[in-house]
Amino acid sequence: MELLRALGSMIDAPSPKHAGVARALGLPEPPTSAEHHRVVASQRWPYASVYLGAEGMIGGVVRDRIAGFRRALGADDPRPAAEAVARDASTDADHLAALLDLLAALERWSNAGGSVEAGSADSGGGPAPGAAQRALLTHAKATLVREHVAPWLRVYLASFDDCGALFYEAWAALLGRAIDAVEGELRDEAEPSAPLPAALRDAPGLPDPRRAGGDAFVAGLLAPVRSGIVLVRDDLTRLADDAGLACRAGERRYALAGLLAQDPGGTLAWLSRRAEEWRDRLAGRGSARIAEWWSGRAEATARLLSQLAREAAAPARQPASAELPAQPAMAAASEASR
Amino acid sequence: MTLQELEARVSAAKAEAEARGETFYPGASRVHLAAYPPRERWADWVELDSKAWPERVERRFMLVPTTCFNCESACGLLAYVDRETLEVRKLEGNPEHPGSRGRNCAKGPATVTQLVDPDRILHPLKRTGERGEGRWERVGWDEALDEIASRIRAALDEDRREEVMYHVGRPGEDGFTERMLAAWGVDGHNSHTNICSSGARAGYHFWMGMDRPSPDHANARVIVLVSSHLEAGHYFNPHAQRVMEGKKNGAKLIVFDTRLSNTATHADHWLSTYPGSEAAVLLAVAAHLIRTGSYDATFVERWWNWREYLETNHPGEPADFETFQRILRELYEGFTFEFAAAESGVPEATVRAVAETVAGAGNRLSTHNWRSAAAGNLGGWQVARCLFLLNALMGAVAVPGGTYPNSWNKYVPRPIRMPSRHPKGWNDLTWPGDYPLSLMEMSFLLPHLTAEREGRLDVYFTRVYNPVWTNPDGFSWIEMLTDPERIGLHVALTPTWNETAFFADYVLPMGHSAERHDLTSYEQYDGRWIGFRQPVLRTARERLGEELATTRDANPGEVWEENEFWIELTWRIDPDGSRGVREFFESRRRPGEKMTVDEYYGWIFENSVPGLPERAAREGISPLEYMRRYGAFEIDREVGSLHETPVPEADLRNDFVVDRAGRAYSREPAPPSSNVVPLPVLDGDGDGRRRVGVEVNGTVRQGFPTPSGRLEFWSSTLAEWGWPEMAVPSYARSHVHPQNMDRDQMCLISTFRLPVQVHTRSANAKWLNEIAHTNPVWLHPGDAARIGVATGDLVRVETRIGHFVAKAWVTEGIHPGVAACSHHMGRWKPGTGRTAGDETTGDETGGRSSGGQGARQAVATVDLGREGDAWAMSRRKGTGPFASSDPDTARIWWTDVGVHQNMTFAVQPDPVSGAHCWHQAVRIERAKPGDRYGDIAVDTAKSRRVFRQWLELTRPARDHSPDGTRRPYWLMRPVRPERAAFRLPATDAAKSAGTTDPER
Repeated sequence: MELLRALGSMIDAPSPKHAGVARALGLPEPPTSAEHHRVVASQRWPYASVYLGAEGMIGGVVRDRIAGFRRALGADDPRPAAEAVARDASTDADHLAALLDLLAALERWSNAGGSVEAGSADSGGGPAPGAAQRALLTHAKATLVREHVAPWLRVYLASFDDCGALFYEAWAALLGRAIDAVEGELRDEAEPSAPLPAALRDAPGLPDPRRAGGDAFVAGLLAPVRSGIVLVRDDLTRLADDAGLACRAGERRYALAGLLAQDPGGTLAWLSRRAEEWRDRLAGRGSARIAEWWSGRAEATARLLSQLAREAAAPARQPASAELPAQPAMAAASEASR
Repeated sequence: MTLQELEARVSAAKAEAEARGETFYPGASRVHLAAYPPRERWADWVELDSKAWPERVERRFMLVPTTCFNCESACGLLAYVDRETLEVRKLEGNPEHPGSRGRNCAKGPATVTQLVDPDRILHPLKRTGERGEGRWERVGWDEALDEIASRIRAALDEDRREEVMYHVGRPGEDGFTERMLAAWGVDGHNSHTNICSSGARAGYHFWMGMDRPSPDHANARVIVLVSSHLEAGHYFNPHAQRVMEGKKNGAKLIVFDTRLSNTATHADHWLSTYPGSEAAVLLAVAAHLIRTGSYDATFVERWWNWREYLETNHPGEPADFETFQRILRELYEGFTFEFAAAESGVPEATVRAVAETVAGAGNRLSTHNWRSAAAGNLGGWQVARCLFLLNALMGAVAVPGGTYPNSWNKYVPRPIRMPSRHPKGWNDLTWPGDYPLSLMEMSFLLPHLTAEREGRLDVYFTRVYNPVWTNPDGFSWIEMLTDPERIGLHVALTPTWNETAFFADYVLPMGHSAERHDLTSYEQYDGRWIGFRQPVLRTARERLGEELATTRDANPGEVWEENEFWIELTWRIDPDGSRGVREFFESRRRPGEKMTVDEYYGWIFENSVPGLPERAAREGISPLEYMRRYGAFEIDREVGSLHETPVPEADLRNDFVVDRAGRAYSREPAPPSSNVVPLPVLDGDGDGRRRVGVEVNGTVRQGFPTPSGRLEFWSSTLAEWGWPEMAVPSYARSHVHPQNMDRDQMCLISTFRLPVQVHTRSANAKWLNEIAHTNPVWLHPGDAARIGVATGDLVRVETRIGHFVAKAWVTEGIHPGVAACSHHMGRWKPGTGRTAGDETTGDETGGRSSGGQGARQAVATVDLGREGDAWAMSRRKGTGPFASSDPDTARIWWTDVGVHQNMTFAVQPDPVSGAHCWHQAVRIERAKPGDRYGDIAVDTAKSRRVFRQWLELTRPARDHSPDGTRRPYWLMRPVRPERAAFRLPATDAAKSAGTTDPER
C-alpha cells in the first residue's frame, strides 16, 4: 500500500523529492512547477468535494461526510496514532492524497498490526489486531473505497486523458490500475444489493435553464456530479478556438457565460458533443455500476444541451415578444454574464 | 511491471531514504505540517528573496534549530542563517520538535526582532554613579568576572554562603544552574514562582506529589480550563494546539474566566465566575458527581488515601469504602448548584449543565489550572486542588484524555559530574519559617525580609528577571536595591535594559534564544522529549569550518551565554580547586582544563538520553551533532499510568516489608536513573529501607510520590502542619470576596496576559510591541456608568498602598463589579542619566548601543520622586519614532505604553502556599483634577504594614512543626540543603515542642 501513498504524493506541487518517488513508481520525469500549475493546480483540483458536491466546489457536505468518517474511524480505534490519521478532518479531509494515505493506513493496520504514524507509514509497537478488529478494518476500507473514493476517482482520472502532460497521463493510468486492484481485493466485501454511494444517490441533476435560469444552469454544467462531465478551463479555450469565439479571462463560470452570450447555438452544440464523449469515457473503468451512473448523467446532459442548441439555432419563427421565452439559453447566458 | 513489484520498489526506496535520515515523500502528508523544508535539506536551503520581487533572487540558507525563550514552553525554532552574510534572516517553527510540532505563537518568529534590536545591551557595563543614577562605563568581561568572583570566594571562605543569591525569572533550562549552586554549596536559589504559578502547583503537589498537570487535551472528551492560557500565548502554545485538536475531535471546552478572554471565546461553556468563587463552583460539580454516583468508584477505592483519612478523622467509623463514600457525600452536599451560583454569579442552570457535561466525560477529562484564580486569591491553591478532585473522582488521572502528572511527561537528563552534596545552610530570606509549606521561595518578600530581619546579600544576581517591574510593591524593591547595607553587589544578567537593571552595579549582556545553550523538557502530552537551545550563528560558523572558543565570539558585540559565563566564574571563584568547587566544571577529557559546553552537553546526550545515541548512529553522527542538527529528540511517548506499574521483583527481594498503610519498603538499592526530573524525597521506613511503592490489591505498584503513596484526598502534611481544616479540597472565601471588602471597593484582576507579550522577556520585540502596547482598565458598563466614565477616560485606581491613573475600557466582557488590567504593559525608565537618554551613540557594531541608551520601543520616560516613604512616578513622555540602525524604529506610530500597576500592590502572601495573592480590593473613581495618565503614588510604610498584616495569617513552623523541622522534608525544594539544615534553630524547636520563648 506504499504504492497508494506514493501515487497520492505525486499530485502535490513538484519538489526535488518528487523525482525519487516518481523513479520508484516507474513514471516519467516529474513535471515542472508551471506544468503542475497548468494541469492540476488551476484546473483539476484533487478534492472529492469538487466532483461529488452539488456546487462543484471544495468543501461542503461531501468533505464533512468524509471528515465524519475519519472521526468515526478514530473513535473506533483506541490507538492514538490511528486517531492522528483519522483526526485529519481538516480542510484537506477529502484531498486525494489524504484519502489514499488513509486507505494505505487502513491496509497497514489490518495487515501489519501495530500503530501507524500518520504521514510516515512507520509501523510497529502496538498490538496486532485480532480477527474481529481486522474484519472491522477491512469493512472500513471497503466503505472508504465505495463511498468516498470510487464514486469520483475514475472521473477525476479521466479528466487527465487529454491533459497534454505525459507524466500525469501515466500517473492517472497507474493510479487507476492500483485502485482497480484494491477494488478487486475488496470484492468479497461488496454488497450487490447495496444502494448507490450516498454522494451519487443524493446528487441533484442538471438544472434546465428554461426553468432554473442561466446562472444555475452554468453552475450545474461546471459541477461534475450534476452534469456528468468535467469541464476544465482548457475545454473552454478549445471550445472558443473551435467556434471562433473569444474566451474571456476570468473564472470558468464567467468564461462559459461569455461564450454562451456570444454564440449560444454553437456553444451549446459543442458542449453537447463534449458530453457525448464523456458518456463513453468511463466505459470499462472501475465499477460498472458507477460508470453507468456517470454515463447516464452525461447522456442526460448531452440530450438537454442538444435540445437547447436546436432551440437556439432555430429561425425566429415566432414574433419577438417579451412574453415568450424564445431563446432561453441565450437569455440565461446573458443573465449569467452580468 | 506488476503492481506488487511497484509496491516493493516504492517500499524499498522509502526504506533506503529513511535509513539515510532523509524524508522520502515530498511533504509530510496532510496530517502534519507539509510546508517545511525537509530536514535533510536544512544544510543548504534555497528560497527566493521576497524583498527582491519581481526579480527572482535566490538566497541560500543554513537552517539551524534552537529553542524559543520568549516564554517557558520551549517551542522549537528554526533559524534561517544566510549562508552569504551569516545573519539570521528569520525564525520559524521547528517541525522536528515533538512538543510544538512546527507551530509557534507570535513570540517565536519575533525573536529575530530581538536579535537586531538597536537598543540591546552589547557590552558589560559597570555603574559609575550612585545606584539608579544612570551612569555607566563599559568594562571588560575579565574585570566584571574578577570582582564578582572575589566577593563570592570571600563569602564561601567566610561561611557567608547565604549572602550569595541567584534570582531567576523563568529558568528556560533544566538543571544547569541548580547544579552550579549545588557545586558552590550555596542555598541561594531564588525563583519568581511565588508570584506566578506556585499557588496552583501547591494544590497539585498536595494531591499527587508532583506539582504540575500534563493534560492530554487532544484525546479528551471534556476539557476544563481554569485559566485563559489557551490563547493568552504564554507557556501553552503546545497545549493550545492540542486543545484545538480535542475540540476538532468533538471535545467540549469549559472555561472559567471572569473576563471574556480569547480562550473564553472558544468555550462551549464560559463561566464568568466572580473572582475567588471558582473552587465553590468546582465543588458543586464534584458534589453532583458524588451525589449521582457518576464517578469512578473503583479508581477512588484503589488510589485515594481514603483509609488514612477515615482512620485519622473518623476513628469511630468503620474503615471501609462504603463508609468513606457516605462521608464523602456528606462532606460536599452543601455545595449545591444554588450555592455555587450565589457565590460565583454564574446562573445555576449553567453550573448544572457544566456538571452534567463533566459527568459525561468518563475518564477522558483533561483539566488545567495555571495562575489565574490560583494566583489571585487567598486560598487560591485550593482551586487547583478542587479542580484535580474532578480528575481524581473520574479516574481521569494518567490515562488517555485525562491529566498526567508533569514529572511523568518530562525528562531531565543526568548531567556530567553531578554534585552529590547539599548546601549545609538554610536561607531564611527565601525559605522563612513563617511559610513552612510554601511551594517555592518567598521571593517577593525579599525587600521586607531584608529590612525587618536584617538580611543582607553580598552578591545578588538577577537573571532575565525584573522584580522592580514584575513583582508587587516595586518601590520597596528600589529601596532595597539602592541600600548598600542590604545589597552588596547587584549583577543583572539580561539581554535588554529593564527597570531592575537600572539599579544594578553590573549589567552583563546575555544572549537571546538563538544565542545561548540550554536544555529543556516540558510536559506537553503523554510523552517525554528534550529540546536543545543553541547559539545558531556559532553552530553555523562551526559547520563551515571555523573554530570558535566561546559563544561570545559569534554573538553580537560582547553578548555572552550564561553557561560559559558560569563556568568561567566558577573557575575564578575557586582558581586552584582547593575549595572543591572547580572540579564540577573541570573537563573530564582534559583534566585541569575548563569544561566546555560541547563536553557538558555531549556527555549528557551520549550517556543520559535513552535512544538518542542509537538514533544518531543511524545517521552516522554523534548524539551532540544530532541535537545540533535537529534541535529536539523524543525519548518516548504513551508513558501511561506509571502509578499502576508493578514494582519489579528485583526491587522487592531484599528484606521487603509492607506497612499498615500499604507502603512498601526494601533494602534493595535504588536503580540508577538517567532522568533526574525533580520529585519529592520520600522517607524510608526508619529502619534503613527505602520506599519502593505501594501495595494495591495485593500487588506492589509504583504509586504516587506522596507520603501515603496514593493520591492524597486528605493531606496529612497540611493537617499536621497546622491546617487541618484545609486538608481536603475545600473552599474558603477569598480576600476579595464581597464580605471581605468595603462596599465602595471592587476587585481588580491584574493577572491576565496579552497574547503576544511575556513580561520583561518580550521587551523590544518591535512586531510584538506594535500589536500590543497598552493595558486599559476593563470596566463593565454598569460600573462605568456608576463611576461616570466612558472608554478612554482617565480613572484613578486606589489600592491599599497607593494609586495609579489609567484609561478606562468599557466592555461587557467582564463580570459586573470586577475590574481588570493586564500586567503586561507599563514599562518605564527613569528620566535621568544616560540610561534613559534618547540619543543614539552607535558603535562599531553598526549603530547599535554600547549601553546607556535604555529601551525605547515600548517604554515611557518617567520622573521618580521620593519624600521619605512616599514615592511618586509621573510620565514625562511615552514612546515615539526615533532614528536608529533599524529603519522601523522611525515608523513607531504608538505613544501609549500602558501603566505600571504592580507598583501600587502590596505583598499578599498566601499563608499556606506562599503564593502572592494578586487580586486587589480597590476603589475606582474618575481621575481627580491634576491626575495625569500613568501617575503612580505609593507609601512604602503602608506596604510594610500590609506585609505584617498578612504575616499574621501564617502558622509558622516554630509553632506548628510536628517534628521540629522547618519544612516537611518530602516537599519539593530547589537546591535541597542537607538533612540537618531542616532542623529548626534551637529556640524555635523548643517552641514547636510546646514551650514558649519569653522574649516573643
